[in-house]
Amino acid sequence: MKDHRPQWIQSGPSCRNVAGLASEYLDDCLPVLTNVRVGLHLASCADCRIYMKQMALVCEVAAGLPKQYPSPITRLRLRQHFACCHSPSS
Amino acid sequence: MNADTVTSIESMSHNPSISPKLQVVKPSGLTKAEDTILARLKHGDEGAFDELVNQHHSALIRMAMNYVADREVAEEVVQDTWMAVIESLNRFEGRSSLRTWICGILIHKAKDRGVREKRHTTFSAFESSDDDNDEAVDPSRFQQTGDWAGHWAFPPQPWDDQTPEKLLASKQAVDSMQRAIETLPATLKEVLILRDVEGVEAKEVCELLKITETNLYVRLHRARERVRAAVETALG
Ligand SMILES: [Zn+2]
Repeated sequence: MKDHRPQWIQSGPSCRNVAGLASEYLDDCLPVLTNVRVGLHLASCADCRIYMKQMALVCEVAAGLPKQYPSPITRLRLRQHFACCHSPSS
Repeated sequence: MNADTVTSIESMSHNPSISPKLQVVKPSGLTKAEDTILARLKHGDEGAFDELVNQHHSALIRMAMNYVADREVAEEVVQDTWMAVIESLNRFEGRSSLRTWICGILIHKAKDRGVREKRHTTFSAFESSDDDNDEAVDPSRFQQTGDWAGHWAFPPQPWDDQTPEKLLASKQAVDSMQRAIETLPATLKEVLILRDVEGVEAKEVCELLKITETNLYVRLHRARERVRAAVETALG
């Protein structure tokens, strides 16, 4: 991925820039230089640290949302179809 | 769905519309765990089939809800998907991951059902989510002018219980999050469900939805920010 904020090379990113790149930063897919700039900004900006922490929490909580399973009757139907198509003896 | 459709879904990872960076040439799209479970499935191991269903059923239901109007129809679409998976398993060659293949069948069936019921999301809604240049975070939360332009004017306030466990234990936070996810536009919802709720790798999401990594992150960031803002409002 290209570094799409070249103006930062001199000045460093603003909070608005950092907030805009939060998802890519959290997924560790920013270009190296941008990643370093965002990291340096976070080290000195408490507000952006809060923002980044909240975005990370959203991802983690989303991963922990309740799982959904088929109803017992659906599961039985699926098992029967599987057994019918893939019986070890067939 | 016929055999050709299932085969074409399996070939998705070789789609020329995907950026070259994402087209990793590899002999098999299967992870080691998938390779093992696939071998067990092909030997008729019902336990392996149960594991497969437990692993992917949530994602399939949530994805199906993106294209059809109600839960009952989504359940039917997912059941049809599992039936097609069972019937096509012996033809699956492992060129894509098992999950990509199954989700591809689901998307095909759910879109087809949504079109037939004329309840699917309009194409304009699909196009709008990454064609415009709107920022994910409300620009009015930042200083607009002066030496501090671009810095927070209205910064986020810390949440009291900033651990995933405590947030998950908060009915208010979880409800607001689920509501926020439910009301996302289809293109934002599908990336958030796949990437964050189901934990699918970014590259695999791109292959599945036939989008570039840039598009993925435009959508994903908007989706995450909307959910974050909903929790912020609920807890604030
Ligand atoms: Zn900042």
